Parts: sequence; C-alpha cells; structure tokens
Amino acid sequence: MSLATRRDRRESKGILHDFLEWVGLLGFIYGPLDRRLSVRDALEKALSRPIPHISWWGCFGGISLFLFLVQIGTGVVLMFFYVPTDPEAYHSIRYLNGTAPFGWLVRSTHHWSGNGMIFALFIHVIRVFVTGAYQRPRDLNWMVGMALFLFTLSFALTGYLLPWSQTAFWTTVFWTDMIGQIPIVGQWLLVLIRGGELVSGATLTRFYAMHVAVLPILTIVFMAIHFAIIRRLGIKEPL
Amino acid sequence: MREKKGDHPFYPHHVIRNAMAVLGAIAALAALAGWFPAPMERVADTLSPVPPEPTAPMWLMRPVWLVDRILPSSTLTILVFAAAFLFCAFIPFIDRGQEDPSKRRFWVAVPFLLWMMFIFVATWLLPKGIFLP
Ligand code: HEM
Repeated sequence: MSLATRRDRRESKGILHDFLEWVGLLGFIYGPLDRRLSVRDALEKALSRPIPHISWWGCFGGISLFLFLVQIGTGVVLMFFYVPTDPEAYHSIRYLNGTAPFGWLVRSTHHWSGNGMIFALFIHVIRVFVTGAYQRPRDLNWMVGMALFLFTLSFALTGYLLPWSQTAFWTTVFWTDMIGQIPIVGQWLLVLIRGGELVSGATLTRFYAMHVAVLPILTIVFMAIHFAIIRRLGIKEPL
Repeated sequence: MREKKGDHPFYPHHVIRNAMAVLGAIAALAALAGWFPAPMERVADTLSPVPPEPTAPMWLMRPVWLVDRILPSSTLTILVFAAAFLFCAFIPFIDRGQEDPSKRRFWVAVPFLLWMMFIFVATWLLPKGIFLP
C-alpha cells in the first residue's frame, strides 16, 4: 500500500463525510482530493505568482481576449434565435432585434465587442511591433499572432453576412469578387467560398458553419499556443 | 519569474484590478450597445445584378475599396493586400534583432508603420460617401 493511500485511510472520517467533502468541492483544497492532487500547493503557487507591472499599451492583447470571451457568450445566445437560411436569416434577426426580450442588447453587444476586438488587435500589433517583441525568440509567437489575426478577420467577414441584409450581401459580393481576381487559383477559391458561382443561400450556410464552429475552434487552439509561449518567455521589456 | 520593483502578487492585487477593468469594459460595451445599437437594414436584394441603391461596404472593407479605386485592376489590389500581409507575417525573419539591429529595424519599421497608418486612416478617419461596387 502506498504512503498516500495509507495516510488517506487513516485520515478518512467515514464514507458519508468523505463523499460530502468531494461534492462540496472543499475536498479539493482541504480534503481527500487535495491529498491526491496537491491542489492547495498549486493554487497557492499560482495565486502568489508575481505579475510584472505593464503599461496600458500592454493590456490590448488581454482586452482582445476579453472581447473574444464576450463574443462567445453573446454568440451562443444569438444562436438560440438565428436561422441560417435565405431569407429566414433576416427575419430571425428582425425578430431578435424587436421582439425577443433584450435581443437588441445581446445583438448590439456582439456587434460592438466584435468591432472592438479588431480595434484592440490593431493596437496590440502596433505595441508588439514598437517594443520589438517580434524578434527571436518571440518570432514564433508573432506568426501564431498573424494566424489569430486572419481568424479574427474571417470571423468579421463571415459574421457580417449572417443578417442577410443589403450591405451584408453586397459587401460579401465585393470581397469575394476580389478573391476571384487572384491569378490562377482565384476562380476556384471564389466558388469554394461562395459554394457556387454566386453569393446565395449556400454561401450563407458555409459562412455560418465557419463562423460558429470552425473559426472558434481554430482560434481557441491558437490562443492556447499564444498564451503558452507568453508564459514560457515572459513579456518583453520595452526597448 | 524574478521579482522586481513594480511587481505585485496575482492575488488579490491583480485579481481586483482585473475585475475592475472587466466591469468597466462591460459597462462601456453596454453603453455603446444602448446608444448605438447594431443597425437593422433592408433585406438583401439578391436578384439585382448590381446594388439597387447606394450601398456602403462594411467598414473593414474601406481600405480595400480605396486601393481598388486607385489601382487600375482588382488583381493588383488583391496582390497588394496579399503582399502586405506576407510582409507583416515575415517581419521577424527580416529583422532578426541580432546583427546591426538599428538599420534593419528602420527598413522594417518604415513600411510597416506607413501601412498601419494607411489602414487606420482609411478605416476609421475617411469621410463617408463610399459606395459599392
Ligand atoms: C485574438 C488575437 C490575440 C490575442 C487574444 C492576443 C493576446 C495576447 C496577450 C494577452 C499577450 C500578452 C501581452 C499583451 O497583451 O500585450 C500577447 C503578447 C504577444 N502577442 Fe498577441 N494576441 C493576439 C493576436 C496577436 C497578433 C495578431 C500578433 C502579431 C502579429 C501577436 C503577437 C504577440 C507577441 C509577439 C506577443 C509577445 C509580446 C511580448 O512578449 O512582449 N498577437 N498577446
């Protein structure tokens, strides 16, 4: 019998007591679960970790993350109402905006938080550039950041079509036409993005899938890498 | 991580400051949403071959729209944006921050900051009156 198990036996105060400690979650810090997983040690270490002082410029990556979390929260609520077909998409947004309680608030918050995320990223990239933090060894994180930037733009472009309004539709026609102008692969890409020759209900379905499934997963994975690298290397001191 | 002057522990100092910032940000978002709600426009007219009325592109597309007006072909426009993106992505490989940092940095910084300035002005400062196509 291992030492931990033996100690566990000795300190056990009966099945019911142990069970209540587990489900009461206190067991995580003081009780049997802590004896198995050393949660308290880890917590104490994490909570007392010194945080370097950073200026306001250094907060824009964190602000982007915060706004992304708001996007997930409000986005999931929007999904309860939104219908991704032509022309029901437009009517579902109308319903959300006018009839559903606080629907306008959720939609407008998603709108502003999304726009704000792009603005915050813009400042974040400039601050990373100006402090020279793209140089080795943070060059890898700059590339990861570039991928995150592409994903964020794709979020904006796919999300913008979803209300199926006049500007949504014609903006999508405009930029997908532009993609079609790329030499050699342009036409192929255009059909891939639109799901046909023209912007149609098929485009809407595609953009919806990208917006609520593919892009969130990609973004979360790349953010995890981004943050892991920051934890490992620390924030660069200003030049 | 080494401790220095100006460092503070994660808990409670950092947690409280963060919580205040988050509450402030939520208030700002709610205020924006309340005073400037997301627009509700007309339903898309998918049958018309061109926009049936003057339609402004999404703000994100304003720099693209502008460059497309200046250059003779859309192929050039998209190539300019692709080149700018690739340049930005590969900045760490152009300026590796080892050999003679100042000169390299200068030749990376000039195009990068000019490009960012153009994007900023075209996106957020340009007057209205931009219409599709
Ligand atoms: C969704 C997008 C992004 C999120 C949530 C994010 C988040 C963060 C956070 C929280 C930090 C810590 C320091 C700070 O906030 O300034 C950081 C650092 C960094 N970010 Fe981002 N970022 C994103 C996109 C980008 C982009 C687009 C780039 C560049 C192309 C980039 C490059 C970097 C680099 C190189 C660092 C390390 C800076 C240093 O050590 O001083 N990130 N990021």
